[in-house]
Parts: sequence; C-alpha cells; structure tokens
Amino acid sequence: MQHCALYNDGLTPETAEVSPQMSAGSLVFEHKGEPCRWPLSRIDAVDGWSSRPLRLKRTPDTYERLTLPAGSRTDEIVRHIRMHRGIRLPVISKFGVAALTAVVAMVCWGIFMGDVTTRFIASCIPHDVEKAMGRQAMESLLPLLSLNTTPEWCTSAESQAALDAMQSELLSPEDPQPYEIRILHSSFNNALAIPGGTILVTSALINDLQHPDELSGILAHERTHITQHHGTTSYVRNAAFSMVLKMFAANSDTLRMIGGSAQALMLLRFSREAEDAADSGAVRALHRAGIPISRLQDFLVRAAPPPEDGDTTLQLIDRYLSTHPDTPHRVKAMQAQYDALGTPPPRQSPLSSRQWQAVKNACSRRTDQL
Amino acid sequence: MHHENNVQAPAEAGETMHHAASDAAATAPFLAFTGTGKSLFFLYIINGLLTVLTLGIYSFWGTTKIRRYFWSHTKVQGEPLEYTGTGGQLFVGFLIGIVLLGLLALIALVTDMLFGPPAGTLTGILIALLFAPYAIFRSMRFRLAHTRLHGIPFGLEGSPVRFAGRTLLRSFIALVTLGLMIPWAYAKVTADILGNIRYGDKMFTFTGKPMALVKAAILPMLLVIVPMAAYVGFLVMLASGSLAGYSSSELRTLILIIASALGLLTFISSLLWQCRFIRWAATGMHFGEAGLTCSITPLRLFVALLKFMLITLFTLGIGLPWAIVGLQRFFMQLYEPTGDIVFADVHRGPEQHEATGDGIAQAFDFDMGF
Repeated sequence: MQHCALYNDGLTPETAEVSPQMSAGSLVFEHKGEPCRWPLSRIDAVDGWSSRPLRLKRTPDTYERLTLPAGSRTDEIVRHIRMHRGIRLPVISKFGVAALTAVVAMVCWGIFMGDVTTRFIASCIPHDVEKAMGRQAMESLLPLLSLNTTPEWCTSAESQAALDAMQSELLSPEDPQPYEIRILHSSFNNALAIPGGTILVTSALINDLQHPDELSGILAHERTHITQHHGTTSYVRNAAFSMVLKMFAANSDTLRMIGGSAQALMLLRFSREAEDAADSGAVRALHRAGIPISRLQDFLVRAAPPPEDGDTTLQLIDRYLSTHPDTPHRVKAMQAQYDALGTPPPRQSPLSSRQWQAVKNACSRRTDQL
Repeated sequence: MHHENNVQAPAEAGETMHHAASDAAATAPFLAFTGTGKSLFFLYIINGLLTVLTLGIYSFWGTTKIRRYFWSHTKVQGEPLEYTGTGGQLFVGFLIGIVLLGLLALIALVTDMLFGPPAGTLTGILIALLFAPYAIFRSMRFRLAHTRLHGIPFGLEGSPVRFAGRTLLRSFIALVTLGLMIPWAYAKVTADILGNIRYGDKMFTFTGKPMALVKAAILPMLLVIVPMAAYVGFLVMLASGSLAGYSSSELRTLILIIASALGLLTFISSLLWQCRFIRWAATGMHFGEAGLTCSITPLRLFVALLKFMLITLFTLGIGLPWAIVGLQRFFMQLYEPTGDIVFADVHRGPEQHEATGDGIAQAFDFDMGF
C-alpha cells in the first residue's frame, strides 16, 4: 500500500497516513480498515485550491481533513474535483456582485431619492422641535460669531420697528408668517436663518450696507431658508449620512476618511442648492413688493467680487468647495428670474431715511439678553 | 458528469508524504509562521480596494481572509491551524452590535430626560463597562471556536455574563486602589480566559499566580510612578515660586529634560511589563503534562519593535506587511514546550455555537488583544 496523504478523522487529532485513489467520481481510501468515500462533488479546499500541501474537507463539514502533498498527482486530483464540482462562481465574486448591487442601489437612492426623503423628513419635524433645534444651533453658533461667551444684541425700539416694517413688505398670502429678526454685535459680516424662525443679522453687515433695499433682499433670502426648512434638512441629511458612515465604515480608517470627505462635498452641494433656492425665493418676494433687485445684486458683488482673470483651475475647484454659488452665476440667475416675472407692482411703503438710520444705529444700545 | 478513469497516487509523492508525516512533528519547530510579506501585501491591497468599492461592507469578508491567511500560515509542530469563521458571521454580529449601540444611546437619552443630564451619561458608561468584558469574552470564544488544529476545534468554556461581572468587580477594585491593583486585576482576567480554553474535550490549565504578576509589575510601575511624582513635585515648586531664581530658558530646558527622561522610563517600563506579562502568561499555561516557556527579553522585544517601526517608517507604510510578518515570526520562535504534548486522549468536544460574538465586539470597538 502506498501512503500519499494525511487524514484526520475529525474525532481525534491523530493523523493517519492514507492512500486516496479516484474511483467512480469519488476519492476513496482506507482508514483503520474501514473504506472512506469522498464524493468529488462534495469536496472543498480549506486554504484555496492553489495551496500546497492541499488541505481538503467535505461539505457539509464533517471535521475530517485530508492533506495531499504538492505534486503532479495532486494537481490531477484537483482538476478532477473541479470538473465534478463544475465551474462555480467564487464566493468573492458572488459577494462582490451582491455588494456592488447594494452599493449602486444606495448611491442611486442617495442621488435620486435622498434629496426628496430628507426634505420630507425635515418637513415632518414639528415646529416646536425645529425651534428647539434652532435654539441649540444658536447656542453653539453665537460665541463663535460674536467671539464672546456672552453675546451682545443690538436693541432699540426704533430699529426693531423699522426691521418689522421691512419684513411686512415681504410677506405674502402664501408666506404670511413674520419671523423674529435680531441684530448681533459681531465683527463678522454675516446673516443667518435659524431653523424655527429667527433671522440673525450681524452689526458688521448692517454697517456695510449702503441702501435699505440691500437689507430687504437679505431678509427675503433668509426668510426663504426658514420657510423651506433648509437648515433642518441639512441637519437631517448630515445625521443620516453620519449614521450610514458609522455602519459601513466603522472597520476602516481609510473609508471613514473618504466617507467624511464625500459627506462634506455632499453638504456643500446641498448648501449651494439651498442658496440658489433662497435667491429664487428672495427674487419672488422682492418682485411681489415692487422692490428692485439691483441693490441686492450690488451687495452680492461687493461681498464676493467675481474674479477678474476669468475661470482659473483653482477657481473652478473653489466653486465645488464653496458653500455658496459663485457671484456672477447668482447675479445672472436672479436677473433672469426677475425679468421672467414681468413688470413688478408699484411699491407700497418704502423705508424712510429716518427708519433706515434707526437700523444703522441699532448697535448704539446693546444687551446680553437673548 | 461521470468519470470512470482512476488516478493512482504516485509512489514518489507517497514517499514524500510518508516521511513528512512521520518526521514533521519531530523536526518542526513548536510554533512557526510561514507567511510572506509579498502575499500579505497583495491580500491587503485587494481587501482595501474591495472595501472601498463596497463602501466598507467587504471589510468583514476581508478580515476573514486575513485571519484565514494568518491561521493557515501558523504551524504548530508543523501542522497549520485552520480558521473556519465567515465574513457573514462578522457582518451579522456587527449589525446586532449597531442595534445594541442604538439601544444604549436610547437608554442614556431616556435616563437623561427622566433624571437630568449626568444620569444618562453615567448609565451609558456603566452599561458599556459591563458590556465590554461580555463582548470581549464572546469575541474570544468566537475566535477559539473557529480555530482548528488537526480538524479538532478549540473552545472557551464559562459564562460571558459571569466573566463580565467578575471583570467589573476587579476593575472597581483596581480603581479604588488608585491603579495599584491593576496587575492583579489583569492577572485574574487573563487567568479567566486562559484557564478556560479547551482543545477538543481537553481543558488547558492555567497555574499563573496573580500575586506573581503583581510582584513582576512592581519595578515597571516604580519606573513610572517615581519620576512622575518627581515631575509633579517639580511643577508644584514651579507654581509656588520656589524656582524663581532660575531664568525661563533654564526652566524650559529643565522641563524638557525631565519630560524626556519620563518618556524614556515609561517606554522601558512598558517593555519590561510586556515581557514579564507574556512570560508569566506563557509559563502558567499547561496542556496535560506539557507546559510552555517563552524566551522574550526587553532587549529582544525592543530590537523587534525597532525593526518593525523602521521598516514601516522608511517605506512610508508600504512595508507594513513585511514588518508584520517579521514581528509574527519573532513572536513564534520565542515559545517552546516543556514536556511532550500528548494528543492521544483528546477527542472532539461539544460544538460551541458562537456566531456573532466577534462582530458585536467589533461594532463596539472592544478587543482584548490576546
């Protein structure tokens, strides 16, 4: 008897030498005087078919192991086993196809349905919850924006009345809800729409404005952000993406990094889309009130001047990494929309120069009470 | 398809196997690692690519492939180990872990709402503290239950809940003794794991005395505690103005020297502790009459770690697989058995149905690192 393989019976660790032979579609050998028959169609490799020595097992697993040495006979046995088993798609390919399908489905959902879904979820959030979210966001934003742990608010009855008058010009039957407008003492030039219904304008921005219609345009823009729940939608989207990232990228630092970058780019894209939507809303509100958009356009050009040397590569990259669309695009789009709306109605009650002065001087009185 | 042609095993292959079978155990080193940096490198590359392409889902199957590679290239007296876990098991366990994480967050949130903010955080920490050893135990059980030698699986006996309770109690004792009992607690936890491992139906025994490890930890602990106390004393003197006579540049130099010395001593202490712990754990392990020795020394460990670091650094991480293989080989050649390992009285033990433990631990990022 020729010994050419090692056999473990799966009952004890004892290794026996056996001499397997091919016979009638099976690998047969004798162990302790008992015949063993392994049908070729039910044999699998433990460490892969190319490894030598080759460890074989039966399927379903019986704990038995048969180890064949490296050599041409083993290669021949492998060929026979594989012929009997037929050409099977490797597990990795099966899994790969399934995983790629899942990924493609997820990406498609992200592209086509993610937007709709997150908007829907955001619109379902009760107003009180949205307000609480806005308060929480404001608490973390204010110290950064005012560079002070106790933010100061610019308050005067005259300025508040003027701001309210400005906002009432922008209200419409479709959008009748007036929002709270607050002026924050800050050296940063900014205006923000807080979810739930507060518009924050910084004192630096008020100082920088040259005409009341510029402020009307800004208020109309921020109002649209609130009405269309852009802040809340962004929050929902960010939370959903973070959850997916946590689920699937928990095992890989590289993937977490790539996923984090993708998340940042997605949020930037959404931010640019939201800015476009807010511009459109502002154009409609200004048109309805008979306010020209030229002042708002002037302000945008002043705040973010377009590059003089056209589109360089860096500027193109910057466009994709920016939270806002580029100024020429915004100005042009606003003009096209305004023109498409036709002749605006006559303006009812423009702000008086005294009211405008009250707004400009709002920060002569400050309080730290929110 | 039916094949009638018989394939006879060749005499030369049979002889090779015959000699290999009889001589392998006698001539082969007790432990050896036969993997190569090149094959591991390609395995990492393919795993990385598939993981990124599948948004991380493949990482569970990738981990399984890596484990299979390491197991099948780790030889015990010439016989390779076998890993029988699957990626699907890791994935399902991970999903369960994610659900548990969500539940934990929910419990913390509800507790916060009911009893105020710190209550939720404290409850979360307490549950996580209890859950960590539970998950680690199940993770160890999964790995052992899916490791086979000669076709016979290992196993881990004992209850994960009781292990978690004991570990929590020991952690508490370590905490109230200001960390002085950490070596004792670590020894008890280690003994709980190593003393409950079985191969087939035969239990390993662990005879390592916790107090022996406590004694072994005195020098490494002193190496950190004494200079740390001196450093704190120096800082107190600095704050109280006792060092007012020194110029600021002199003080800076002094701080730098003390901090560097402290860093160096901590490193030496860590090497000492690791070597003493590994030797203590190895010499405490017994399988029947056979014991284990480990010839690790701080200097040998330092040289091995330095090699690992230099290879990784100078190849900008590309050489990591080669460095890992080198470290694996280094550790394998340190262990030698004392006495003959007898497998004659070993039989296949009861099957342990541990399918999800490792995946759950991965979701929580818990690993004891045995």
